[in-house]
Amino acid sequence: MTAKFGVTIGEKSKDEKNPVSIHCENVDIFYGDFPAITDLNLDIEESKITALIGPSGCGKSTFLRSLNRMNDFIEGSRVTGKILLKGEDIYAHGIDPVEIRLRVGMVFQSPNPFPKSIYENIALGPRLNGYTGNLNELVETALQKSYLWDEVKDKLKQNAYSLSGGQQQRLCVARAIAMQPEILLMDEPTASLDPISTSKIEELIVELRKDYSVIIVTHNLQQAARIGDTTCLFYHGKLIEKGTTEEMFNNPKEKLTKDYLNGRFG
Amino acid sequence: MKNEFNKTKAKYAIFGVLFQTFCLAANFSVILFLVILLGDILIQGYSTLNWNFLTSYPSRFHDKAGILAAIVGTFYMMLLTAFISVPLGVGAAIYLEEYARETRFIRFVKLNIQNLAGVPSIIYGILGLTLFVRFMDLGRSLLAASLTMALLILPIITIASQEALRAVPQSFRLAGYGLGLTRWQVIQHQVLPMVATGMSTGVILALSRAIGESAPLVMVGALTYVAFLPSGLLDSFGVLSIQIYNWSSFPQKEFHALAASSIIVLLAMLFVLNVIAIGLRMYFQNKIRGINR
Amino acid sequence: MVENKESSGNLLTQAVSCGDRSKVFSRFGQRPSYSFKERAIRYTLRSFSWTTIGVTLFIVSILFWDAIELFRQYSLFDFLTGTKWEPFGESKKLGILPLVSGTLMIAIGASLISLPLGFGTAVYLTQYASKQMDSLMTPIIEILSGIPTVVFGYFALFAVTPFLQKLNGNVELFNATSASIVVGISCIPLVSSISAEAIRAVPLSIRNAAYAVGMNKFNVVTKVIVPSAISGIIASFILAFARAVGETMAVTLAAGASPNMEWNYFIGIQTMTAFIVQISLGDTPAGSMEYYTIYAVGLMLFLITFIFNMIATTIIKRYREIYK
Repeated sequence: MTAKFGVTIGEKSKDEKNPVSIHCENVDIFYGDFPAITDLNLDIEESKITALIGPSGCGKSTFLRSLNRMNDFIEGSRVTGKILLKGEDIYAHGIDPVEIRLRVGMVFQSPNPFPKSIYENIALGPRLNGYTGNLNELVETALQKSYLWDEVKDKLKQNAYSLSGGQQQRLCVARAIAMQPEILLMDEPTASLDPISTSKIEELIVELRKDYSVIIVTHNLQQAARIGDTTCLFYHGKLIEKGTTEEMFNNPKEKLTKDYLNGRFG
Repeated sequence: MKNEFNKTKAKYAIFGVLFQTFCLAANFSVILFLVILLGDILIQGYSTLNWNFLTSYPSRFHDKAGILAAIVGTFYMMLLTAFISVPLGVGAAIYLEEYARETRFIRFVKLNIQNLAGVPSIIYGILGLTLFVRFMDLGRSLLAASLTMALLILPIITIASQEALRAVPQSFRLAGYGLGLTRWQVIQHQVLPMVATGMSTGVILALSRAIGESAPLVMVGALTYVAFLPSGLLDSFGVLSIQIYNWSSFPQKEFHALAASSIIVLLAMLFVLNVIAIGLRMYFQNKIRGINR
Repeated sequence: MVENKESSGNLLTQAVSCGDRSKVFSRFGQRPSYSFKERAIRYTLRSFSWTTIGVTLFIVSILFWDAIELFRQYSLFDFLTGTKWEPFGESKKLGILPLVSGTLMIAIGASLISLPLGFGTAVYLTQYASKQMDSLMTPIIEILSGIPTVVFGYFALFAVTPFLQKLNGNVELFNATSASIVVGISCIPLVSSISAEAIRAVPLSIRNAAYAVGMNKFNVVTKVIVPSAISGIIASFILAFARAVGETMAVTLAAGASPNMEWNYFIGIQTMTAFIVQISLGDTPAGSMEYYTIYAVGLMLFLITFIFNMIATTIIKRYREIYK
C-alpha cells in the first residue's frame, strides 16, 4: 500500500465502526506523585487491532497494564477516572481483579513461559478455572492458532524452556488465548525477537483480530503501520492523536504526530 | 622518575608476596584445623565404636554403656522439631514475601527475624524452660524440647525460605497473574516448584543445627541416664549432644573415649542429612529443568 | 486432529460468544480472590509470621520479668558494678563483672583467631585461588561450620589443653586459652563467608579500573577492593564477636566454672553462658535468688548480643543497598 513516512501500510479490517469494548473517561494514572497518564479519554473498538505508539516513557505500557489491573502490583500506583470493560467499571469497589484478568489477557515483552511442559503451560490456566471441555482439544487449537502446533506436536511434554525465543513467545500467545479472553493486550510482544519470529507473530496477531480485540504497544512504527487498524499516539502521558492507521500515517492532524513520524524525537 | 617507580615497585613486591602468603596460610590453616579436629576425634573414639555401643543404654560402667537411647532420642526430636518449625517457617516466609505489603510493620517483622537468628541458643533454653517446661507444665519432655528447638531454628528456616522466594524473578509471577490466577494459585503452581531447592536445603541446614545444639537442651532437660526409648511426647529422653557433654565431664578417661565415639555417630548423622540435602537439590533442579529427553 | 481454522476459531471464542463465560469455565464468577480457601490461606500464613514477633515478646518479657525479681532482692547497681560473683552459699555476692570479663576474654581471644584467618581465607578464595581450590574449600568451610559446638568443647578439653600443658606447665586443666582457640576456629566460617560475599559484591568494573591505572595485584586488593568491601567485612567481624559472646558448650567444657577478673589466660574462668548452664544443672529451687540469677545474667547476655547483632545487620543492609 501507500508508503509515506517510509512505512508500508498493511491490509486493514473492512469494518467501519464496531461496538466499543473499552471506554476510558478522564483517566489519570499515578505512580506515587508522578503522573504517568493524564486526562485520558479513549474508546477501543471490538475486533480491531489498536496500536499504541509513542517515545519511551510516554505511558503507553502503563496504560496497557491498567486495562487488566496489572498495575496493582506496582507499589504506589493509583488509577482515577473510569475504565469500563463492556460497560463495567473495572476499578469499582469490590471488583475482583482476578476475574478481570480472565476476560482481558496479556502477552508480555519478554517471553515468560512457566517452567513446565509445553502442554502444561497452556492447560494450567483453563484447568484451574474449571474448563468444561476437552483440554487436549483446547491445547491443540490454541497451538494451531499460534502457528506453533506443527513445531511442537511431537514434544508436548518437553519443558517450555527448550524452545527458541520466538517459539516461546508464540507459546505465551497460545497460553493467553487458551483462556479465551475478550480482549488481548500485547506489550511490545516482538521487541526481543528476531525478524523472522517477528513476522510470524504479526501474521498471528492479524489472524487473531477476527476473534479478539487486540491492543498492542509497539516501539516499531513499521509494525504499527503493518498490523494496526487504529493507531494512538501517546506523549508524556497524554493521548495526542487517535485515528485509523491510514489517516494517521498519511495525513496526521497534530504537529506532534508529524514530528514523531518524521523521526524528530523518540 | 624511573628510579622512584622502581624503588616503590620493589617495596610493594615484597608486601605483595607477604600478604599473599598470609592469605594462603590462612586458607590452609582452615584445612589443617579440620583435619586435626576430625583426626583426633576419630583416633580417640574409634576403638570404642562397636555394635554393642550402638545398641546399649547408658550405664555407670563404661564397658556396658551405649547410646541407643540417645540416637533414638535425637531422631525423634529432629522429626518433631521439623514437624513444628518447617510449616511455621516456610509459611511465615511465604506470607512476608508473597502477600505482605512493604509497610513499616512488615519491615519490623523481617528485622525482628534477623535478630532472633543471632540470639544465643542458651537464651532459647531459658525461654523453653520458663514457657514450656514450667508454665505450660510439659515437664522435661520430648515435646518441650522439640518446641524449644523449633523456636531456635525457626528464624533460620524463615530467612533461608525468604531468600529462596526473593530469587524468583517477578516476571515469573506476572505471567501467572496475567493469566487470571489467584495469589495462592500462582504460589502453589509456579513459585513453590521454583524454590523447592533452596527451601529444602535451608530446612536441612536448620535441622543439622537442631541436632547439634546442646545448650538449650541442657536447660530443658534432656537427661542422660535414660534407660528406655521414649514412647510418648511427654516422656523424658536423651540426645547425642547432651550425652557427649555429659560423658566429657566425667573424670574417668574411659568415658571420654565413649564421648568421642558418640561424636563420630553424631557427625555421621549430620553427614547423612547433608547427603540427603544434596540429593534433594539435584532432584528439584532436574525437575525444573525438565531433563527428560 | 483438528480439521480447519474455521471450527478451531469457534472453539477459542466459545467463552465470549456464548454470552455466559461460566458455561465454559465453570469456576468463573465465584470471585476467586475472596474465596474461603484464599482468605483462609492468607490468614493462616499471616498468623505464622506473627509467631516470630511472639517469640521475641516472650523472650524479652520473660527475661525482664524474672530479672526484676532478682533486683528486688539485690541491688541493681551492685549487680552491674560488683567484682565478685559468688551466688552459692549464705552471703551472696552478685557482681556480674567477673562473668562479663570471662565472656570478654573468650570473645577477644576467639576473635584474634577468627578475624585474621577468616579474612585471609576470604581474600585468598576471592582473589588468589584457582577454581579447583575454591571448589575444594567451599565444602570444607561448610563442614567446619556444621560441626556442633560440643564437639569443639571436647576437642578443647582433650586435645588442645593437653597440648598447651606440654608447651607450658602453668596451663591448668580448665583455662581460657583452649576455649578461645576452639571458639575462634568455629567462627572462621562465619567471617570467611560474609567477608567473601562483601568482596564479591564489589563490581568487576571497579577492579578493572584499578588494574587499568597500572596498579599491581597487591595494591588492587588492599587499596581498592578490600576498602570497597570494608563495611561488609567489619560486619562479619562484629557478627563473629557476638557469636563468641554467646558461645556456650565449648566454654562450659573447657574454660571451667571459676569466675574471676584476673585476666589470666592460663587459668579457668566462667562466662555468662557457662554460669547459666551450671545453675541449670544443679538443684536450684524455683523462686530462690539463685534461680533468678539465670534471668538476670541471661538478660545481660541478650542485650549485649542484641546490640552487636543490630549494628552488624544495619551495616550489612547498608552496603547491600549501595551495590544493588
